[in-house]
Formats: sequence, C-alpha cells, structure tokens
Amino acid sequence: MALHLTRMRLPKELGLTSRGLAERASLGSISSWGRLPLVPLATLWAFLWMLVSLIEIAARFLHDPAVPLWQPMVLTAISTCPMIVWLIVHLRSNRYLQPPIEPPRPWFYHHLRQLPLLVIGYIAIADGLRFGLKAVTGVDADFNGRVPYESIKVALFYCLWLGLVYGTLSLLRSREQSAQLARTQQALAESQLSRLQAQLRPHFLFNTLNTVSALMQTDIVRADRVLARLGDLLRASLGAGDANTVPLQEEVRLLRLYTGIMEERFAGRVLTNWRIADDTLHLQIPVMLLQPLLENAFKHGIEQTTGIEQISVMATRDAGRLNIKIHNTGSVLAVGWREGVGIANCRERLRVLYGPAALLDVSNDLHSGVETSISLPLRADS
Amino acid sequence: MIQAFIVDDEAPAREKLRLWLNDQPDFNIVGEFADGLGAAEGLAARTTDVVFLDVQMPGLTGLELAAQLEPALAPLLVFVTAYDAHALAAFELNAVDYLLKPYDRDRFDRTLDRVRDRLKSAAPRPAQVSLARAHTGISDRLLVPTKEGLRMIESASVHSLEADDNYVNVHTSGQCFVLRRTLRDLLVQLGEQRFVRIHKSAAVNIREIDSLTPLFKGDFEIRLRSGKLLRLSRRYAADLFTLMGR
Repeated sequence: MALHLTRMRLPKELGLTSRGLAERASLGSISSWGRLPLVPLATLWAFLWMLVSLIEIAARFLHDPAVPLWQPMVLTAISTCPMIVWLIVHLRSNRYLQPPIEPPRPWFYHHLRQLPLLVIGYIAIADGLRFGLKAVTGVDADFNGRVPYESIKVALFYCLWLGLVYGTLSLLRSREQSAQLARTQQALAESQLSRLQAQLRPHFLFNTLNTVSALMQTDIVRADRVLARLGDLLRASLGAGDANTVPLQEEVRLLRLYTGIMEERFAGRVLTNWRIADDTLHLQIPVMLLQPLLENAFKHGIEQTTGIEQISVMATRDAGRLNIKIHNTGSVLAVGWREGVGIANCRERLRVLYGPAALLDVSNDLHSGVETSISLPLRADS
Repeated sequence: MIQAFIVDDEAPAREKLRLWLNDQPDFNIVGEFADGLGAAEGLAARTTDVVFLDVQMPGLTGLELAAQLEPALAPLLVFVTAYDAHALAAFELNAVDYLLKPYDRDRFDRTLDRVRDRLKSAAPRPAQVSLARAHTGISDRLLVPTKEGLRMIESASVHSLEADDNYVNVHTSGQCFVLRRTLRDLLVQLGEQRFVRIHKSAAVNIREIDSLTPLFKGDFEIRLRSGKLLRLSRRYAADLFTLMGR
C-alpha cells in the first residue's frame, strides 16, 4: 500500500504540490511503524499459549487418567519459560514491523527459517529446567516420545502465531493507511481550493472592471486596452494548468499585463522598473511562479500606501543559476511576520521541482522596502 | 444642494463618481479624498450630507473610518466596494446604501434616489456607523485631532476619558485630545469591557487602575498608574468590581 500510494497518479492540474503531499504521507506511515503495538501482541501471545497449554493438559489427562493432574501442569509450566524468553528476544529484534509486510511470502520465509533454532533452544531450556526440577524435588516429568511431540507442538504454535501476527499487523496498517489517505485527500482538496481562489482573485477582477467602466466614460481607447490586458491575463491563468514550465519571457509578458492594469488603477502612484537580462529570456521557469509574488508587491507596496512607490523586477543569469528579484518600496516586513499562502505555495512548488537547490527568500531591503528573491539552478540544456 | 464627498484610493473610480455626480443638478461635490485618513480630516473640517466611501483603502479602510464617526453627527454613507464577502453580507442584511463595483447608471441612479429620500425624511439616520462597528469590532485604534491634523492612536494607550458638554477629553500619558463625541458612544466604540465608567462623565481604562481607596458614602478614590486621582461614584462601583473580577 505504501508503495502504491507514492506511485499513484494524481490529477495533472494538481501536479507538483500533490506529489509532495503523497510523498509525505507515505513517509509518515513508515516512520509510525517504528512504534511497536506491544500490548496487543503480548496479549495475543498469552492467549494463544494458554489455549495450547490447556489443550495439552486436557489431552494428557484424558490419554492417561492414572497420571496425577499436577504432572502435565508442571510440564506445561516448565515449557512456558523458554517460550517467554523467545517472545522477548523476538519482539526486541523488531523484525515483525519492518515494511513491507506485503508480499507475505518473504515475511513468512524469514520467520520460518528461525523455527529449527526455536525448537532446539526450546527443548534445551525445557530439559535443563526439567533436570533441575528432578534434582531438587525428585519429580521426573519426562514421558515417552516427548521430543517429537514437543517439536510438533512448538512448530504448530509458531505457525499459528505468525498467521495471527500477520493478520493483526495487516489490519492495523490498513487502518492507518486509510486514515492517512483520507488526510492526504483532504489536503489535496484544500490546495485545489486555494489554487482556484488564487486564480479568481475577485478583488482584482472587480476593481479592474470598475476601472474599465470609469475609462469608458472618458477614454474608450484606454478602456479597450485595459479590457484586452485583462482578457490576456485571464486566458493565461486559465491555461496555466496545462504546462509545468514556460520561458521567462512568457512569464514576464504576463507580469507586464498585470502591471499595466495596476498602473491604470493606481495611476500616478506606482513607478515600475524592469531589468530582465537578455540571456535569461529563454530560460524555463515554473508557470505562474512570479505572478503571486508581484501581486504581493502591489498589495503591500502600493494598495496600502498613499505615496508614490516603486516596484522593480530583475532577472540575471549567474554561475549556472537564474536569479530573480521582485522589489517594492512602501512597506516593510513587521517583526514576527508570517508567510502568506502565496509565498508558501511558491516555496512548496520550488521544493518539489528543484529540491534544496532552489532558494526563495523574502526580506527587508536596506533602503526601505521588501525584496523577494528566487534563485533556481539551470537545466543542463539551457 | 446635496453636499457630497468622494473617497476612493483609485483615481479612475473617483473620476467615474465625479462624472456621474456632476450630471446631477442637485449634487455638489465638496471634497475628494484618496485615503481614509484624509477623508476623516475632511469630515472634521466641514459638514457634508453624503459620503461615497470605498471600503478597501490604505491606512484606514472605509469601514474603519465609519466606525470612528459619532452616529448622531455622521453624514449619510454610501459604501462603494468591489468585493468583500463579509462586508457584503452585512450590507445586504441591513439594506443600507451600497454600490458594488462595477455598477451601472441605473444602479447609481437608484442609490441617488435613496440618498435624496433619506436626506428629506426626518427619520433617524440608518445605522451605518453601528453596522461598520459590528463589522470591524471594537476599535483598537482611535482617530484623534491634533494641531497638524488627525492621528490614529492605540486605544490601549488611552488612560481615561472625561466628558465636557458635547466633547470628550481623551487622556493618554502626557497628552490630551479633545473629541467632538459623546462619552457613551465612545465607550461603545472602544469596548465597555476595556473602558469602564467611574461616574456620570468619566471613564477609565481598566488596565490603568493602580489602586482604590474607600471614601465616604460608598465612593472610592481611584489612583491610576500615571498617578492621576479620580473619583469612583458608588453608582458605578459595583459594575467596576464585577469587571475587575472581585
């Protein structure tokens, strides 16, 4: 199950984030199996051994009623001792719980290999105790055919025990995994929802429509331009799920569309500055990676201030890495600020795509303002 | 003539309102503001009949601005908003005037008609101020006038409030601001759990109380942390002790 979970195909539009979640889910299930369900296992063992012992005492008594009842009872008590030793050694070795419990054959094979050792050890310890008892009390609990009988008894007990353990562990694991799966599915649904909401950006949409409505009264050409930009932007964000990466050039085109609309809305309050190095234009980056970061810059730098503020977008290529910086004046990160959904999503996408090789950092810049910087390793072909 | 303010941080949105209001023979735009604080200063400087108030603005949002107004003196407010699910629910519930961006000429004309009706009738003003307060909750910040203009101070920094006719003196450490408000309404805005009345015309910040000394006839003398002494009348003593958990 754990292996299946990681291989499970997830809907494409969920893509990267969901794969990360699935990985985490399966890791979680493995690590939690380090915890031994000791009490249920010990109870199961005690119950099983008691059952075998009772059958043995009853059988011995019925077979030969002349034998006093205490004799088979003492014999059973003696044989319980090596079994307890074996249980402790076995549980400490912890091999029961090591994944995968599926497929069953190697698991059973591993444990059945230990059966001869168990039988020999069992008879040795039981005989030692029996001789000890004989030396101290003079009572001899031996009977004919004891060695083959005890061997078969221990082997049967062991097989029964393995079957029950296998069943119990499978049950526990399947319960754990279905809980894990439910959690994963919920997390997926939530990430899907937040992505949808991020795409809609109702506040931006309605304010832009109002801008168009205002411009229509005075300047049809400008109104038209804002409408066309909005259309391009919506088209791009609707189609964003189809490709995982785009050339930086394409991402920058969308950023400029967005900026163009914001410049109409906040006319006279924003100065933008683009410094995109020519040798970065064709480099591939995750689609819509920068959009939420630029939106943050506008939200904090422009929408919540009254003065004239600056927004800069910079991209450079340096030593096999693509470095992108988005900077805004007009806001500072408060002490103890927490990352919002937008940045957290970006970070997660970068982690899944590039692992530790990608860096994302949001910090206060020396000259009043906030800078978000991203550094990505370049693919071999670029 | 109906005197109107336009408050919106986006220039095109202001322009649209200005154009359409200018088409109305009975409306006169007497102020345009690009942020909440500026609008508050404008409202303090002159009276106006109606304010077209954007909700999302830097510094002080439209709702926060509305929450700072004295209900009896507040002009009619028309909230103009693009999208704010919570605020919208409140507006619809109370059926006060609001415009959703983008709005068309018909919707705008209906709103103007409603404004005209409201201004004509002597009926009490709709409860937009209390609606805004219900939405913003107890104000953590208080808008106070200074020599330079209006300023936001932290509500928690207020030590005591003393009423003087139609004004309230707001004392902080070392400063006193005079607000044209009623003590009762100010207490509603700041939260009656945090500011408690000690006699008919005074209230204190409950956190600033240092000690209480019994006087005659069940009155007490309150010493604030700042050293200031005030009298607690026996009429309000029981309420204060309940709040202080005694």
